Order: sequence, then structure tokens, then C-alpha cells
Amino acid sequence: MCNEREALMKKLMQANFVLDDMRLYLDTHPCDEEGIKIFEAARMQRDEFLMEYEAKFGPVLADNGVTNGQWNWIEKPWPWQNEV
Amino acid sequence: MWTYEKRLQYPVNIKNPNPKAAKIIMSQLGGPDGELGASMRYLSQRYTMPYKQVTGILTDVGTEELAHLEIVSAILYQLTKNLSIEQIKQSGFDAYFVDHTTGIWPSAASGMPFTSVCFASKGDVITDLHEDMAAEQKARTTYDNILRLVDDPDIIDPIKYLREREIVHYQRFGESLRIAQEHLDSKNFYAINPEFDKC
Repeated sequence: MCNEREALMKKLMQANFVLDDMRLYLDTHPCDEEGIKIFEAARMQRDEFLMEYEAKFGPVLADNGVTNGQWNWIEKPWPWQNEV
Repeated sequence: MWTYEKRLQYPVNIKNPNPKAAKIIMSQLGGPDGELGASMRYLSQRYTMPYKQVTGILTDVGTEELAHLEIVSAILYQLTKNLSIEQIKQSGFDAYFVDHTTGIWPSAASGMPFTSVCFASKGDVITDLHEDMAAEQKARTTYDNILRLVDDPDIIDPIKYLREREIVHYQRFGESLRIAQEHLDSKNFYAINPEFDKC
């Protein structure tokens, strides 16, 4: 079941992982200019994928939980419920 | 303050239930070197940490450990979904099932409930960072042992990811220790405790 939702979620996870890893790196290397560039590039990608994912497949953040006037946050499956 | 993201940090897609594997992987939820203890260790230690880089690492690694807690919980949930009573009895999962059904509850594989005794928050930067480096290695060993005991690629994949993160965290805590030592008198790191003494 390799659908568009899964493919987009994978891209979102990958961009977020760069942020997760670089966040730790920058904590102990706060003056690394190359690291800051990598972090900022990943953040822009993440924002793009997040916006695209939420528009197509529903909220990832509860703050974006209202879709067309409806509380959509609780409607989509929770992440551990992945049906394969 | 924390904000929940409705996604896992790394995907978990387990096709075949396996209560026997769940019994051992449970240790990385609530066991002595599990993800609950890991997150509580770092998030507790950070308040009295005097160096901003180290406070940052404790906050951000502690937060990532909460995401790992969710990954391990997702593994356990998927391993124990749609079990028959026969499967529960044959796998030895019955001892857990009698108290928790298939609810997720943090304990060690041995059945010992989660306890804060499994981690330290000593209020001393040198002591706590050595604790943190050891904790990451202990968690790595536990994941290594899990990898010796399971053969389903759907389980192995996220477990290998979690194991890898322990190594990265160990590296970052090692750098944190170096940063802390650079702040202290290089002739005697142990002369004072910068989390308590005024110097």
C-alpha cells in the first residue's frame, strides 16, 4: 500500500529527522555555520512538506486541527495505528 | 511546554503480531535502560544545569526520548494487536495480560514496574553527564540484545534506528562533558560543583 500519503509522510519524516539530528549537533556546536545552513534548509523543506501534507491528509499539529469549520484533529488515524 | 505532532519520528509497520517479542521489547519502555527513564533522566537534570549548551542537549535529547517512548509503544501495540487467547497462553504473555490485557504499561521484561530508581539526577554536572553517557551505552546494549532475540525485519528496522540514536546521543553527551570541563578549572574538575557552589 505505497500511496501518496505514505510517500509524503516519509518526506516529512526525513526533513524532520534532519532537524532532530542537527538540533542536537548545534547545541554542542552553536558556531558551526555549515550546520546552521543545513538546519535552515531542512526547516524550509519541512515547512513545505508539512503544509502540503496537512492540506491533503489532515492535521499533524492540533493548532491546524480545524478543517472547513470542523474539528478534524481526532478524525484521522493516530500514528501507532498504521494499518499495513 | 510541549506540542504533540501526530506522526512517529520513525515509521513502525509490523504485519505479524508477536507477543513473545513484545514481552522483551517492553523493557525499552519501562525497564532500567528504557525510553521512559531516559526522557525523565534528561528532563529532570536540566533545571540546575549551569551551561547553556548542556541545558540545550538535555532538553532536546529528553524531548527526542519522548518520541522514542512513542515508537516503542507503537511497536508493543502492533505486536499485541488481534491476539487470540491461544497465542497469549502459548507465548507466556498471559502473565502480563492478566493485569493489563493489551494495554501499554511501562515495566521491565522481568515484570519489575518502572521506577525512578533506574536513573539519577545528582545535581552535579560531571556526575550527571557520566550517568548520561553510561545510560546511552546501556540502552544501546539492550537494543543489541533485542536484535539477538528477534528475527522479524518489521521489528528489526525500527529497533536498529533506536539503537543508532543511542550512539548519536552518547556522542553529544561526550561533547557536553568536554564543554563542562572547559568551564571548570582544568587542573581539578572536581574542586567544585558548579550546579551548587558559588565560584
